[in-house]
Amino acid sequence: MSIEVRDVSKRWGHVVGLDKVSVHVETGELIALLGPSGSGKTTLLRIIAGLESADQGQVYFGGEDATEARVRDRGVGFVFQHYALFKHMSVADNIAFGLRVMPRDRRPTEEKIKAKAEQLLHLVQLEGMGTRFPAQLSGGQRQRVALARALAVEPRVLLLDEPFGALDQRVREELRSRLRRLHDELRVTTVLVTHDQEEALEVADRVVVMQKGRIEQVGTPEEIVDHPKTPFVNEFVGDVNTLQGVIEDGHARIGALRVPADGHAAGTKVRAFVRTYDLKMWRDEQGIATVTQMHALGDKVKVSTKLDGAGELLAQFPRRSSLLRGVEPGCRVAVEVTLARIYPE
Amino acid sequence: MSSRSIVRSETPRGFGIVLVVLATLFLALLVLVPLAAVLGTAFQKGFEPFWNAIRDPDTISAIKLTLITTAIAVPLNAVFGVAAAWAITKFDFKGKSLLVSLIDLPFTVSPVVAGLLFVLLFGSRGLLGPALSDTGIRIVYATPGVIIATIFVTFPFIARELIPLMQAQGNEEELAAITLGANGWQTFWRVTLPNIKWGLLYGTVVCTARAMGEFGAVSVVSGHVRGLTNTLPLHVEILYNDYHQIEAFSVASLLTTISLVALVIKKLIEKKGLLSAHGG
Repeated sequence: MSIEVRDVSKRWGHVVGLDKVSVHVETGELIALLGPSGSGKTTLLRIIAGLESADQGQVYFGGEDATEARVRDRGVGFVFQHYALFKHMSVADNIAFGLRVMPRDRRPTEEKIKAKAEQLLHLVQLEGMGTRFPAQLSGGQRQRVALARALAVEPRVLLLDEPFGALDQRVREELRSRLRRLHDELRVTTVLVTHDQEEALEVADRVVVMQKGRIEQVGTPEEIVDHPKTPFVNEFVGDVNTLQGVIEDGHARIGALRVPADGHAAGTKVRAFVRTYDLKMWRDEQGIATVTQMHALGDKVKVSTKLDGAGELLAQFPRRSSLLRGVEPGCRVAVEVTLARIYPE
Repeated sequence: MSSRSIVRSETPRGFGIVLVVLATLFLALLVLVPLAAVLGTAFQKGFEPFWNAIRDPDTISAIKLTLITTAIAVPLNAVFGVAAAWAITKFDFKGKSLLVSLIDLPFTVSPVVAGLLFVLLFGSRGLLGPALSDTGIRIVYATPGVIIATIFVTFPFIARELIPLMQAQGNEEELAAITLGANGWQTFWRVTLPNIKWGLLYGTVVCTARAMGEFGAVSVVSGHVRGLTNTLPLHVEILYNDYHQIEAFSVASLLTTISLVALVIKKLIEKKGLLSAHGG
């Protein structure tokens, strides 16, 4: 089922939640709404689900206007950030809930419901856990129960609100790839809300980057990473240095650093975005920066430097990089920027 | 599950002992001694006079009226209380804070004033009095008045118990139920009610105890017609004023027993509710 959001706005008094947002989600696609808190991504998700009403604009499900449809008639599966499992019901009863509340003429027999619950427990790899209660499960297991419960009613659309937000890093990564595999298997149109860029870029077919109730960019993960369209996307996606500079004869001058910059008039104040891995550094007593700190993180080394006449500059290298030879805290380094994106202030 | 952590130091010493002794003495003087006095006086001349006082037709009719009043007031307050708490905690609407204040009103208004209010409203010279006397319905100085006054005074007990509980629980489970296709009724019976059942039971017990013991408002509206509009507490007062000491204390000990039973049930619910609240 495709989803079409057309010119949707929402405000609370003077606070703008969403400002004329339009998004199209293809049937079977997994799309991520990515943005910082307050960007409107959760509001958009809740409007799609019908849990929140839009002040203006329409929501279409498969070409049909669903703007005024009741939540329970929309056929959405919603997974809440804090799972919202029914505390007093066993895992199997939680999963079967959506089937048991169906109108009598559509409701499967009790045996079929039980079989379906078993099948879903298998799908999320929680076999044998059906008789447990939510309080007896770990966070990751609860999340999987919430997912199974939402899938039980065979929703036309699956909506996930920060589904891995409350979990630790390792469980998150595991659940992330599990979700992607599940989606490849079931092909349910899915919208995922997250503030974690890694999550969005890894899982989604397309990413919608949002800020302050507006859409900044929509694209595949590659497009978002390699061709960020706005300063915000530049800053939000990837580990990035944000530097202030001035244009001088075809270069942006940032303290002692000069970065090629075409198409800007001399004297223009600019902001330059430089990814931490789009930098080269090597030991040089005549260099333009001083190393302040070095951290080894697994197979990577993060180097913090103080750029002469400007602020902090962060770089990232493979651990065994030849560039790092002789580099240590306190030493002087030369800096070369291999890729920068420059926007006028 | 240790989310209810109690600060426990070793055996109290010095200042601690003084506090414990003071609190115990205070409680003994104010609660235990009077309690013993009630029972002592009731059985002063043995079991026979006690039993005669209970068997007295006026007492029996007071017991009946108290039970009828409670049987009507408590279920109504349970329904209204749940409805009010549900509305206040799960929905946003205009005038919500006004509703919250109104629920608290019976707590802040003196019961005597509440009683007078109903007399002024339903009495023969009251606002609705003439209309009522035409239809032949008597409210004040009759059973309906006693019931209405009791409902008014005990209304907040269940609602007040449920509101903080339901506020703490939030409405995510209800939202989840709705997205899964449940209608309002199914959501209430299958999700909300199981989550509040211990709070509801607790509130009901407290409300019951209070409804049986209510004196002030009922005293004003009942008119003290012996064998007709006297509840247990009113009957105790009348007996006492007539210098029927043993009878008065016998009936009083009946009321005391009710409150002790309520206290025990309350404690049991607290224990059970706490256990289940922490995932039992």
